[in-house]
Amino acid sequence: MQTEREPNVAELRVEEAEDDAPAMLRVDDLVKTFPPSRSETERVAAVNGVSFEVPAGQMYTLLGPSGCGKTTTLRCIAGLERPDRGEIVVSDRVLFSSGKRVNLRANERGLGMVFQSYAIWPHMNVFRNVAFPLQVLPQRERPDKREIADRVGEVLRVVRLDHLADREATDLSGGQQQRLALARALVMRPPLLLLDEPLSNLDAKLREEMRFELKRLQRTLDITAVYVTHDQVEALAMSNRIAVMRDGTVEQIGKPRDVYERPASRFVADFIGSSNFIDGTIADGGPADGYRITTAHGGLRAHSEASLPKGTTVVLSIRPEHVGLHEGGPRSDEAHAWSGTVQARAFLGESVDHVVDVGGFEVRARCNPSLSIPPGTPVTVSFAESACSLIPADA
Amino acid sequence: MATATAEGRPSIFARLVPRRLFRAQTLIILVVVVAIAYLAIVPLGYLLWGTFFDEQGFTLKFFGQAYAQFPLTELMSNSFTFAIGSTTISLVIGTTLAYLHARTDVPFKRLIFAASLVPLIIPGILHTVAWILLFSPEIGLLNAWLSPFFRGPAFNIYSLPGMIWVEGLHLSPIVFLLMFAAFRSMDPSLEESALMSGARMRTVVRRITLPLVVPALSAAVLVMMVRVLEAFEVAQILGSQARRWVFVSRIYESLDTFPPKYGEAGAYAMTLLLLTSIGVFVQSRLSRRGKAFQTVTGKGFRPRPLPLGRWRWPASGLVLVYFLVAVVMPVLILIYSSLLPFYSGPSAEQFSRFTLDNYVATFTRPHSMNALKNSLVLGIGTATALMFFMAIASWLVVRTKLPGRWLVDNLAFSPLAIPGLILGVALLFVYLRFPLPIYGSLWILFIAYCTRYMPYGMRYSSSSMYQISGELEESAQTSGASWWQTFRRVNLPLLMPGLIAGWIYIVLVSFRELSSSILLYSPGNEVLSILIWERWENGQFTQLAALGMVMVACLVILVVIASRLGARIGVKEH
Repeated sequence: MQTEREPNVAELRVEEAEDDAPAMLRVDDLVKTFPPSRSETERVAAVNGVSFEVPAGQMYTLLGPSGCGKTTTLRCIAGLERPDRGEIVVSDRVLFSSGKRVNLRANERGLGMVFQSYAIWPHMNVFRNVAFPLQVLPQRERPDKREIADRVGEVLRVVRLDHLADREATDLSGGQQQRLALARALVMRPPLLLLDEPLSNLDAKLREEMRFELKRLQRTLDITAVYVTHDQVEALAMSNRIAVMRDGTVEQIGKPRDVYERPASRFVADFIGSSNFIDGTIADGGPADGYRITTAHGGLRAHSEASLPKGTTVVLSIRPEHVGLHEGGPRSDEAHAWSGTVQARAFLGESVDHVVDVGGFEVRARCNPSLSIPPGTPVTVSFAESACSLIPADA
Repeated sequence: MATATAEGRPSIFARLVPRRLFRAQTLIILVVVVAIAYLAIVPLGYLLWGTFFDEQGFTLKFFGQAYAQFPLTELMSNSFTFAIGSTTISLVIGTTLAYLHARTDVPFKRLIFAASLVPLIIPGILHTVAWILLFSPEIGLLNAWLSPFFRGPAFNIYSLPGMIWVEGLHLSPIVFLLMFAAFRSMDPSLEESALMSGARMRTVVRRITLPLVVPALSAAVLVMMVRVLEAFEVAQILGSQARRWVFVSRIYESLDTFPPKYGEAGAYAMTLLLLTSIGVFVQSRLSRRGKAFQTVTGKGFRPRPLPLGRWRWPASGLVLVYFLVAVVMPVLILIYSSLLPFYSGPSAEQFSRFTLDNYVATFTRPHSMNALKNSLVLGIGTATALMFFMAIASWLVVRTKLPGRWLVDNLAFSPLAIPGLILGVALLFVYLRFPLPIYGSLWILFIAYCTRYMPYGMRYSSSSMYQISGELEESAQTSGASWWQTFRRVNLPLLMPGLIAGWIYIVLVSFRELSSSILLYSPGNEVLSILIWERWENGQFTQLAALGMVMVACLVILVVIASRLGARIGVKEH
């Protein structure tokens, strides 16, 4: 289990880069446990002390493998699960607080939510699905029929479904149902939009299209959104911020590029894309001019802002696309180059993957398709200093 | 997954007591739970009390009295011979038909399905009387026709074999429906891969098909055993004449004397209740375990029918014979009798006497019209009340995480183990002592029907509740809808197909209900099945037949409406 630890490299960088916008959502020390199943004796913590803040106007992504607690966190914000402990505040309105004994029900929170299955009501047409949130408002807040029609028409125009208002909801295609669910979540003009893996039911082509559509809508309408997904590509493409979750806790928070290039832990590096992990120890150096690291296969250089004493064990993470590869022996200008043999290669269309054997250690290198080296060929792999990220060995 | 510390849990108080105690939601749920608990628990409580206590306190004397006259061993042996025999017959017929229909290219599939509706539209009492008219030693038509080949009657329906045959035949369509579902949902690739491994068809059936349906088969065995043990009509009408007593007929006999021997009836009832409860309990355990290692997948894909080849014609002969015996013969003899002024075997002279007088009498006598009205009112009232209550109860069980919701589920299903006659006894115990003055009115029948059919209402509504994704409801909540708005505008419309199906089923079974009504009706409050029963006791076969045909006509209309509605709703469901 994750324990209290020193804020690591990537987190420090992120806090400096935090936007100035006021927080629209604040989640503080959220804990949610479930009753034990038959094989367990203790209550299971799906969310175990999660805290984060979402600045207004951002697309904030909770990313993690299934069972990491991201959906439970979202459902706690929505009011569909009752947390055991913690506080949830949306633009200064306390939705849940164990300390103040506040727990608004889901229908009192006024948030918009898009469900994984879209949850389009099959017994209503497109118009009535979108009008529903307005029709169930308390009598004195409920707009009259004409205003409801206007607002539904407006939001349908935004998601480009206005020509289908009279269509049965079940006659829509997957992508249209998705936009309908979005329209229904937006018609209330909620301060916060919750998205629970909204693209996972679409086929690959449509998913890519909707990714940009969703991003465009979020940016142009200036909506604050919390987005839950297990798809790292989606998270990288759409988010202002990513919170990577694991086993009910937040592992790293950062901008997409930071999380990808400066993973805070082996888990993050492994989950977001693939990575070569090399164990090593600090030989010398410092935050200012980088570290020299000795590994079982040769020396490497890497940069880190944390000050690490000599002899600290570390893990180096190097993305396959950052591994240099060429036939023959090392060139004179290559600082950190190891000799090996190509063991296997796979043509992936956009790239060619090579597995290189370096004295019993396997290095994966992703190369431009113009380069394809047959197995058995002696090669050199090299690692640029900027491509190596340092991860504490215990993370 | 991490485990939390104890302090992370919400306090018991916070979880049990809602913030606003008297919300409509809390109130509605409370009413439903109390009603279910009342219906399920109170009758049994009174039954226990009335059986084990007299004026002096705890006593076992009623058991002594009951079993001194009719030894427990005799009742047990009769009951189990009856149950095992009928179960075997229904299982053989039902499974064969189900296999032929679901997996082969046998012709006349529509006939098989038509025959499967028989127990729904021909109540047990009519079925039994039809077989008396065919095989009674005195007036049995087939006995008369077969007498040249035998010395005396060919078959005496008033006997244990007679009881076994009539009950087994009546129950075979239920086995057919159970096994049909099992064969239909079996993944055909399991059999095909055995064929590809080089096994012959016969080996495939023996080593693959049958082992795969063993869970369904054992469930069917238990369901049938319980059904036979609680079957009233056959046991009473055929069994009392043959003096082959089983538990239900003894219960009825002890109450049909003056003064009624309530204690003895209770003693018999307790023993029978123990047996049926064991059956229902074992069956529920089996079905739960069956789910754990289910190899039969529910792909919505129709298996390729197996060509029967040269066995096609013998098989179709089998189907035709079954249809003739199970449907045509009983219905024809009833129609024939209903057209006669007094009963006698067919002859030219009899045909010339055909008259509609019996039908005219049925529709003109206020007595029978009143019974028809009572049956309709009770059927519709029971079905409407039950489906509404069970919709809320199933929401409670399926959707909420309230502690104790499993108890509501179990309570709602518990009447499955209570034979109709025992429920009648129990309700007599309650309302002869209880100050609520409903004995002697239709209300007591209403309560009896609600209790008996609560499990069906629960099954229909919870199975459709399971089919509705929880997100549909949650999205209504996040859209700002209150509990009642969500229930009325999202849950109820989506549940409607299932609720309507359950509603019609309950109207159907209430319409034919006899075994509880027989103990609870009072003059002026008869229902149709009671009227038929009275005709039987008075020996008025021809009027009974006419009344029966009117009842069958009503039931056919209901079944047709049900299937039409089912078809239309099915289309909309996608």
